Amino acid sequence: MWDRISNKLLTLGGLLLLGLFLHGNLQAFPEYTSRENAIRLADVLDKGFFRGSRITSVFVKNRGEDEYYLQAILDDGSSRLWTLDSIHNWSKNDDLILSGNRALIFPIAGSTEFDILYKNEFYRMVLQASAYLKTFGPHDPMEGKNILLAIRKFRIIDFGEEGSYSTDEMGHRYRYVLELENGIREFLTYPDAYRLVQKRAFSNPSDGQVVHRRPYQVRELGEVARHLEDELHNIWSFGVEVIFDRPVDLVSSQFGYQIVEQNLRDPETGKRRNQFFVNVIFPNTIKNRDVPGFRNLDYLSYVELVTDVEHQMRVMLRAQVNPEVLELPPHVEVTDRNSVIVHFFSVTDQSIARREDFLQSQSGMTMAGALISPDGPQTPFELEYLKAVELIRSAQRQPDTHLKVETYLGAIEALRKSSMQAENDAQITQALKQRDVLLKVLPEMIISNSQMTILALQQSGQQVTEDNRKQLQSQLNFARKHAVTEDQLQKIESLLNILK
Amino acid sequence: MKLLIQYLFLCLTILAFSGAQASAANSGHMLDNIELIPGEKTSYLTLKGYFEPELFQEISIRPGESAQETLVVIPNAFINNLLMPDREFDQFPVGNMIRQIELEEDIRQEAGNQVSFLVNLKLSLAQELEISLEIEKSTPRQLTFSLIPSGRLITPEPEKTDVTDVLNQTPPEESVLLHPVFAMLAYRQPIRLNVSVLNASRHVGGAQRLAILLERQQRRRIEQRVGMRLEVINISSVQEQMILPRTKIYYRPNMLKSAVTLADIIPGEQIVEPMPLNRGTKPTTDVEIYVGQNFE
Repeated sequence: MWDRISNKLLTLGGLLLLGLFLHGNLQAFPEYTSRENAIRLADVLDKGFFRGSRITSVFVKNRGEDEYYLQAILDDGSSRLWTLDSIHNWSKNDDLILSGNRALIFPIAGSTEFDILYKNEFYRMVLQASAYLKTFGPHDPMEGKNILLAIRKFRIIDFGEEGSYSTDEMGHRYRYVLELENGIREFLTYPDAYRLVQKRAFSNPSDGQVVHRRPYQVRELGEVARHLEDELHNIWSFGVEVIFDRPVDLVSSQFGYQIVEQNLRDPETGKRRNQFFVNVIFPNTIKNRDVPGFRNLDYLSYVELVTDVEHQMRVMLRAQVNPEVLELPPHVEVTDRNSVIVHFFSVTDQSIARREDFLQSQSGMTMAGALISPDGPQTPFELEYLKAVELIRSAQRQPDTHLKVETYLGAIEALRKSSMQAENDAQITQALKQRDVLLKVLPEMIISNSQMTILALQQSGQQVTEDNRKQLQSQLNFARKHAVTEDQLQKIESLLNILK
Repeated sequence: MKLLIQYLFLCLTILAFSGAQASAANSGHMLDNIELIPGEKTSYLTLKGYFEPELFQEISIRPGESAQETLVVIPNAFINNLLMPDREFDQFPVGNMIRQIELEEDIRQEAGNQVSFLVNLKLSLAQELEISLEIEKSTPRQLTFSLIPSGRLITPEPEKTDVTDVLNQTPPEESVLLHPVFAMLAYRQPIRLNVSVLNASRHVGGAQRLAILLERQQRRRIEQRVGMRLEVINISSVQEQMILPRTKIYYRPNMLKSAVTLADIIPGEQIVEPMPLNRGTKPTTDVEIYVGQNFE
């Protein structure tokens, strides 16, 4: 009986310790550091101030072979043992101040590696600059994107001032306020200031650079009619045109988007259910008037412009969407007529591999899906494949059927060359797959083009020129080679007879 | 008596002040007629009517939708419908300068019962012109724009493209690389969906619980919907400062469908975003799930 109880207690105790250990691991800053780092830190802390007392000397001490910490002697004669976690905490709340108007920064979270913010240099840099390159931070839907904003004023948050003791989520006190001409106020901690110095975020831009001084104002929403975007994959596109008060000096990559799932009441049934919304984010934008939206637009519902309440100077184009139909992300296009078009796509051709396909596949391909490296095309295959894709996109936008056919033929040739340069099965498979997609649609397109050309010439009473005849014959011969139905073959033969 | 006089004076002052404000708020231009006055080097486009010189600064001239169009926007302006019933003018003494002027009155009701009104003049040009507002030549009865020709004619027909041009031209890299249809062509559909699950909550074991949910309970459903074999390749935790209130799902290009499917299947509310380019994550990961505080 007693054994059972003690076993349970041991198990519970073990679980509690494990929990505490895991919790501790998540929260804790290391107490010890390497020898080199400790020596460097001792040098930096020397002649600084600890809670009003001057640090007269700092020594490096060790606990084992690799675990070093510091011993400090203050001007009141006291001696203190300082572990790294204490130094980290004191540097955040001004208990520990470095000499020479510097601040101690631990730039890598959870690491004892440190650096110095030279505050005087930072002030000079900010006060001389006229523009600030704002880079959106982690877990912001605009993460990694940046925008150049004009600086109105920089100031230091004074002690006793409202907000002077407020801190960020890591406990770093806000020290500075950067006021921008568009109305944004940025509150900066020492680590923020350090990061901005490192990134050279303050500058005096040259004449050609776009510096945003005031926010764009949204005026109205327009509808872009549904049209065929990609005839090969039967992708259709429609869009929403957001009209602004003036020309938009932003580029496509400066807009962000996210898909948000929310448990809301269904406006039609009144029952709570999870609904998906797509938010396209417009930076440096305000909405100061009522802009009517759309109740339904293709597969979108409740399309409206809303102010982003979590971020300064942002407006979102928000629409409810069925998650089942969202195959491709929205694409933002900046026009030259005071507007931005958000394109949405609907894929009706379900040629994407389904469960049955991949279960039947015995291939062991494990490489990532990207055929072109994120830094741009580098290998001969990537260069040729990118050329083929560019030609396909160019052909899809071409209104002239004859030029469209010729461009597709150019793409097939580029795909052939890329397959010759392929370095693995995945590359050659994709190149040949794209070629086959083109070969599937081209015979019909060539037949249609030849028929239209001949008909147009007959109606205008003109004769087919020798160049035209050769080009059409060449196209038809190509189509004959890849025609799949008897009907196509018959049409090709009769057209070739006409062109003889 | 003295009090009555003081009271009357006060009332008159208030009336005069409110009247002045009302007239300032209602000030604007009224267009009666349009004239094109040809000149040897400089021609002038003159708008007749009633104008407020202090509002001249708000008039803007900007390029139109095509090279042969210029837009003149005159805020706080109305068109006198009695004197100028037509909205299109195409009969001008110098035919090779302006083909047509199209007028458009834009009146809108704004918040707070305020009304904004403006007139747009869409100028279809026959040749390249430098158009500028001549404030010195403008008066309360006429508004004058100078037109200085550059000598180059504008052909309205679009240039004919040749096959070789089409084949040789490369579209701007950014527009091509960012386009979702390009992404679809440039990425092959993988056989596996590699998912990384990271705990971004204060609940111990959140990532593991979600991984178990995906791997053991929902695997078949996920695989049927995305058409790929699900592989949870990593379960770990993030740094303390990355604690998220809601679960976030980041996806690599061409993986939106998979990410949205996962969001749909995971209980609770999720946010789906494209993987930021500055994130140094492993290229083998297709989808990264940051388990937030809301995951129970």
